[in-house]
Amino acid sequence: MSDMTKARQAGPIEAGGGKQQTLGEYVNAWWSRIKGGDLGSLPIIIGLILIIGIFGYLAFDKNFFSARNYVNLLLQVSGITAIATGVVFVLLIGEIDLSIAFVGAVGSVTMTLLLTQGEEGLNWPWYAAVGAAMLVTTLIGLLHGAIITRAGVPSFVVTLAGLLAWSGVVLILTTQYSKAGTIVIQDPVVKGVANAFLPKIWGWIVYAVVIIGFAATEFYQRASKARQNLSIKPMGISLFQIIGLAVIAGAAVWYANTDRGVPVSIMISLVFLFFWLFIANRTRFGRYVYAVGGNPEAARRAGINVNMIRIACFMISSFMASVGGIILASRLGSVSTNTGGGNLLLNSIAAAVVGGTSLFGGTGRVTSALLGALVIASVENGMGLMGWNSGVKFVVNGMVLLAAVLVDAYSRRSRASSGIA
Amino acid sequence: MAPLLKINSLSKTFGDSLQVLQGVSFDVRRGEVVGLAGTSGAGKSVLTSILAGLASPSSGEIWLNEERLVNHWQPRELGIEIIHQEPELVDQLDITSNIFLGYEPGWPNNRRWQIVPDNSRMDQKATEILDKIGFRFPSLREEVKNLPAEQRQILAIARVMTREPRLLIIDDPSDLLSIRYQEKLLELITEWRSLSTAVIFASDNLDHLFTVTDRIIVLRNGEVVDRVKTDETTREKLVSSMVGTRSENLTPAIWALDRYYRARQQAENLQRQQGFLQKDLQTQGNLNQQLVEELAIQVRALDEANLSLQDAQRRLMTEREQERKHLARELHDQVIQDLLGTNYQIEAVQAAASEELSQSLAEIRANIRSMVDDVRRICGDLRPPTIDSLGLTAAINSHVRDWSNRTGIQVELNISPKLNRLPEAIELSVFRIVQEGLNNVWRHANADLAQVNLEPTSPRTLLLTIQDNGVGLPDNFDLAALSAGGHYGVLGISERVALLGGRLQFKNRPVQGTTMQVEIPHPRS
Repeated sequence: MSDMTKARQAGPIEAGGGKQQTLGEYVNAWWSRIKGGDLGSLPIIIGLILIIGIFGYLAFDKNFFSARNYVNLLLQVSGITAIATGVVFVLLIGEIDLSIAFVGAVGSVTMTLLLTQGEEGLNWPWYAAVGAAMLVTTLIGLLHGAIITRAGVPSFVVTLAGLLAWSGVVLILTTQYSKAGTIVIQDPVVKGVANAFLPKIWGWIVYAVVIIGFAATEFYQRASKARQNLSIKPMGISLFQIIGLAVIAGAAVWYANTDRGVPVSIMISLVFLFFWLFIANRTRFGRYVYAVGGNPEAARRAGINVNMIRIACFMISSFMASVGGIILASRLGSVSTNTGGGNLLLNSIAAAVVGGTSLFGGTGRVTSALLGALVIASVENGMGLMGWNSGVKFVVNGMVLLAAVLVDAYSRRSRASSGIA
Repeated sequence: MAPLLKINSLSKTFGDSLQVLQGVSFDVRRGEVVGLAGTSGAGKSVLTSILAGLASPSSGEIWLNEERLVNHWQPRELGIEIIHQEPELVDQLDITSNIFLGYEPGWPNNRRWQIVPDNSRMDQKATEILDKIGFRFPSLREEVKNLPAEQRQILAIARVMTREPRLLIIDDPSDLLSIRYQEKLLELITEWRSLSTAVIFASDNLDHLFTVTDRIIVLRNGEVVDRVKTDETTREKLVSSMVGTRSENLTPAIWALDRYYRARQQAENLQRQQGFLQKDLQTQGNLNQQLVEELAIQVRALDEANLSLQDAQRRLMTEREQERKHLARELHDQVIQDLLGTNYQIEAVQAAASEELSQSLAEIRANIRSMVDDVRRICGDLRPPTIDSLGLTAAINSHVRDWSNRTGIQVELNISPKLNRLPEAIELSVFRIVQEGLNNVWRHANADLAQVNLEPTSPRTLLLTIQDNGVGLPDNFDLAALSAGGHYGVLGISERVALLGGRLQFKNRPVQGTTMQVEIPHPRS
């Protein structure tokens, strides 16, 4: 009976038939996905609103909502976002990279050393120094990936060894150049990364390009779905999404412009984010990343070079770590023995997980890096304004991470029970 | 033409001692379907997994198209496609992505440099392939983690069909497939063969092997024990080399092998039929319902007819009793009074008559008196005179005494003193039954002693027993056959008993004679 029933269940391909769904159908489908545990970005958005609400209340008189604090928040977000974007790829293949903070530090220290000026300095131009830093970190990722895949050692152990070793390298490099252990970044371009702001008109131009681009993609997708006889979401929802994004992004740009303007660093992070979003969602490589994370054996049998994909993901993670490291170094204007220390590692991994990337591989989105970083940075920023001591900060950060993991686990369970998993 | 695949003394050992393959050698040519037969544990799966590059051989060589394969090759890059016993799919990806995983069509159209997969082309091709298999998914966007095992296996077959393989290795996937798709797979194998793809088909289903293979290589305990052309062998020979016994003992082995598949096929057919039956049953259920209702109506009509018939009979009997009563009264009041009157007249005449005449008159008077007695007796038979005034006990008493005197058969009469007056119809019926019963004893039993018992067994039932010490019932005694012999007496009894809703039983006594038992229910008196 079961075989026959299965065969009968299967109807003609694509029940949608190229028709536009009604608003009711769309909302119903969305609601049943939510009920089934496929929460998407919903918990993180609710969490974000909750956190902003809490700190808006607690730290209202400490200017939590001020434009100045808002721009500071954007500066804080950009470094974490960049690093977390790389972490997402490693998490997607079901691995972990604990070395990112210090690999990023190696990158920023390398860059800073190459930029040293004067007679004893190396006097590299900024682009060469940045390029070299990125190359070095990417090679570090290659090294990690090669050891993990060749020797079959768990990534946890290899990158933990990396964490220790690369923190040592940072110490050696910084103390060798200066007895104090602090090296100031002298190049104006690199300093400008985290200290320059888009002119107001450029902020609006970028805004317009992004909104038009989003709208164009949306309508292109609708057209191609119609061509393929797939069901299309209601026009109202598409317009709602475009207008919603336009309003939110417009408000973000406008509020930043009332202070110093949109930071260059967040634009850099967003450019990388969109680049990797495209790689993950639209390219063969991205598809293989999900495949390797979901079922490595299936990927291997399908003819995918699983080890290559793994190594590439560790390279991406290290590369993005250096991007984040450079942004953070630029913000401080120097590198020191402390670079890469503190809770940078945990914040970056927490951002990816809080954003909704599963620790078990195969599920997650690149955009979760940005949403997660917003949550982490908001908490950090709010607690900073409140002047809480670092013990309390760690406890709160731990709670946020735990909440994110619990949401992941529960949505997984309800997916299993609703038969979606 | 050189063989496409050449395997040279391939061996595989696990650990130090577990030898699962020993010196296996064979070739496969293009457009040839080679069956790998063997019971489970014979080494089929190990062989296929070595050919798939999943395991490396301990020794031996594999040549593909004059090129030696060394450890851990990627089969798909060599044009080898494999359908495994159990499919491996990426749960998080949708149907189309899984079918084309590893070889997505897109831009630029070269696997090594391809960057952007073309989703719409993949969907279109996937639909074509699935149509060929004969399966349609409601949506190709479904993530495969939601699919049942058979559909996952169908996806694994579909994946093989995205390309034109040089060599196809099929490691018996039929466990997860229903018969319909197993047959589809056999069709597809035949098609691949015609496209000059080399096929290695590992299976332990003899039907499948005989349907599609050109040659069969038999493995047993990791060794090639037989290689045969499919056309030149029989099931018996094949099974004998698979299990390694002489042919006399084979039949059970063939059965054992075949039984599973036959049973499975039958089970699936049954399941299908069950589905149809369930549908049919619903319609039939309605039909049955109608029939049952009609039957119930007819039964009710029959019951009513029966009741009215009984009613009519009861009325008839009552009328007959009334008639008798009337007749008896007429006889008594008219005939007897007339006779008695005549007697008195004769007596008056006698006083004045001569001696001789007086003699004759006296005789006439004696005759008249005996006539009066006779008529009185007839009256009594027609209507026991005592029953109306004195009740059943008195009536039976007087009747039995008369009858005993008349017939000379001694009667023991026991009427329970607890017996009260009953409705007239019942009293009369009981009386008549006693009457008929005794008549039977007199006419048929040839007895000299009879016993009549009448007692209430409960406040609502009456038990009448008439026994005799006569000849007993004939062996072929049958109530239904009595009417043919003209024995209306017994029939009359049974009719009365039936009308009163009672039970009648005749049986021979252990030693001698007959017992008639009548049980009659009656309303509370």
